Amino acid sequence: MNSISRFSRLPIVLLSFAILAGASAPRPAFCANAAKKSQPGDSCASMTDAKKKAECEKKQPAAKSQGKAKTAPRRVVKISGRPGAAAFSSVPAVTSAEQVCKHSDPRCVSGARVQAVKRTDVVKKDPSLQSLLSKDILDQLRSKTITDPEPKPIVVKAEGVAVGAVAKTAAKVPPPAQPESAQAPQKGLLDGVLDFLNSAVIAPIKERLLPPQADPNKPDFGAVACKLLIYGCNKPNAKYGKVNGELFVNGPSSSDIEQGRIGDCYLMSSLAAIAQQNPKVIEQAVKDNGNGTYSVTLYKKQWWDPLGVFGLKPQTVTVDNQFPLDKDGNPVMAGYGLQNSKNGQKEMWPMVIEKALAQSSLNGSYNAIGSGDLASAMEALTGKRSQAPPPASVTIDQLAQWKAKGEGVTMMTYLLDQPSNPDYGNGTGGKLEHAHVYYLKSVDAKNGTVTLGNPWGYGDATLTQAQLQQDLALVYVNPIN
Amino acid sequence: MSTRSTELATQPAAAAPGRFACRAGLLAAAVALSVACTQVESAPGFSREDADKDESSITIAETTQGTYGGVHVGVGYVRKEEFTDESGEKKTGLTAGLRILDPLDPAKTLRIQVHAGQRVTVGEYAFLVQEIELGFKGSVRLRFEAGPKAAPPAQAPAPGR
Repeated sequence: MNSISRFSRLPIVLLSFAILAGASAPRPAFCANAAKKSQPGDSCASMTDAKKKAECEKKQPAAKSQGKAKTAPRRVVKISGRPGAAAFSSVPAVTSAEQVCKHSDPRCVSGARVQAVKRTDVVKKDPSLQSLLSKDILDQLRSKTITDPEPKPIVVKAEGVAVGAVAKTAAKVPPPAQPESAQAPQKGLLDGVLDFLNSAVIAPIKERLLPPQADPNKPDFGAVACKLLIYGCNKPNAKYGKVNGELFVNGPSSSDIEQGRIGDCYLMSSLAAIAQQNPKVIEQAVKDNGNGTYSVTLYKKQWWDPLGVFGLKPQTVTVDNQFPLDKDGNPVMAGYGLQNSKNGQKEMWPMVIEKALAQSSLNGSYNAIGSGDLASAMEALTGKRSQAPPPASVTIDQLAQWKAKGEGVTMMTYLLDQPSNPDYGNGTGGKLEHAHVYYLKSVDAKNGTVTLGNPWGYGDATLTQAQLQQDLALVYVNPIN
Repeated sequence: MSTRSTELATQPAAAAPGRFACRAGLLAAAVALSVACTQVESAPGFSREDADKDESSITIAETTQGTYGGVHVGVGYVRKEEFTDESGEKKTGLTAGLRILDPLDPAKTLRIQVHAGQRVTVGEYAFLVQEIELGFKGSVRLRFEAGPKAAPPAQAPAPGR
């Protein structure tokens, strides 16, 4: 009985969370600042700095009271197409979020529009809500066009979750193709609660512990070679400068990879593995915007799901063409590739992806990507989960099969130095570097050897099966195709 | 009894300094650990302040590579081991395993062991190993003294100058 009564309380608890989440009107993080412009009172409430919050509230008491008088009360409405799910509608806020999102921030991806469509659809479905709205807004909703107060016409596009009347629009505007495992989850009750927790708890802590970059387009690289973080850092002697190169020269290939002075071998090897197995994945992930900026789509785990159990979420990062360069104008981080440099060509895709990953890292700096795990690097590009077979049992035949299937394979050597192992550097010998990540370059089944590609662009290692099983600490396999 | 009640009464007040002492102790232990794990050996006459201002001096961390004027130098390891110095004497000290590539001649890919104060010549390139630092992530500081268009290595300036 007890367990039953506990379960029967569950919906009430969830509903309470939902009301809390609805009251805080959670919005996508990248739209939050812009959306606040239309609701001055809300913007004060969401401020994390106590001083700023107090100042803000002093300035805007009148605006707040006016807002309260005019704003329609929040309503809890069930969406007919999704049994059990509830949405929280505050229509004026939704429309403004949609508008600002569309105009000011190119990073406002489909997720934001999806949320807006859900809410406008809720309004259409519920006649009682219609009575609360002005005739103007209702007319615009009926015609599926909302007029911006600035004014710019906004077309509400239905993507993915359209219900009822909007479904017809959805048929005309197909959602962008995404890998199955990386489909963004539909915004619902749980998302609302998680967004609320993120904005109310996680974001302030993160901001306090990891202050954001002064210029997000110029990620800091002052601590890429630190000793245990507290014993001094050797800052590369470099300055940001413009690189006038091409995103791709004859398409992406593994020979374009040239790791620089940051310890992101895990990323560079992953890029090499993907470029070798399926260059189209790279071409689809990085787009030249034609204005000196590039858009990079990365698939990331969500903050509340560090293991990625609920899949990976696509995130578009915009990167400009400024990169850390040395006194001769050569890149200090990822380079153009040895062969390209020799030919005087500047192929930029590795450095663009590297910078995008730096910008989207915890504190938005190159320092934060100085080390990382192999799986997440490959997953960030493919949106597909990696597998980690035990290295001691990996055979040459298996590697040949994975390669033939088009899967990307990256391998890491032992973290600690192995002076007694002749395969690790010893005087003038040694094939492998410790704590380094390689990618599977080629398999010679006839001679029973594999060649591991070094992301430096040189220093590849050819190993037998016995050496492979003895020398590697980690192997990751990612289904790129 | 009275002594005990006094002790109990003062306990909350003493908690804050205690916590502070604990944190300070932890911090000190972390600093001590990092210093203990970090060993540095430098070339004679090397000054870090001078080297920081010198654009031809670059620091390369373990498992990364640096480029200077077309030559690529990767640092494979930094460890304490036996080496033979220029005079033929066997010593024990910090060494680094470098992998060097001359892009003008990719056949010239060398794997060498270096120590602080050693001069290395690869084709037309020459550099001095100014400093080797052992740590969680070791590093090597090199000063490039000659390249294809520069003076021969024999005429290189004094270390760190």
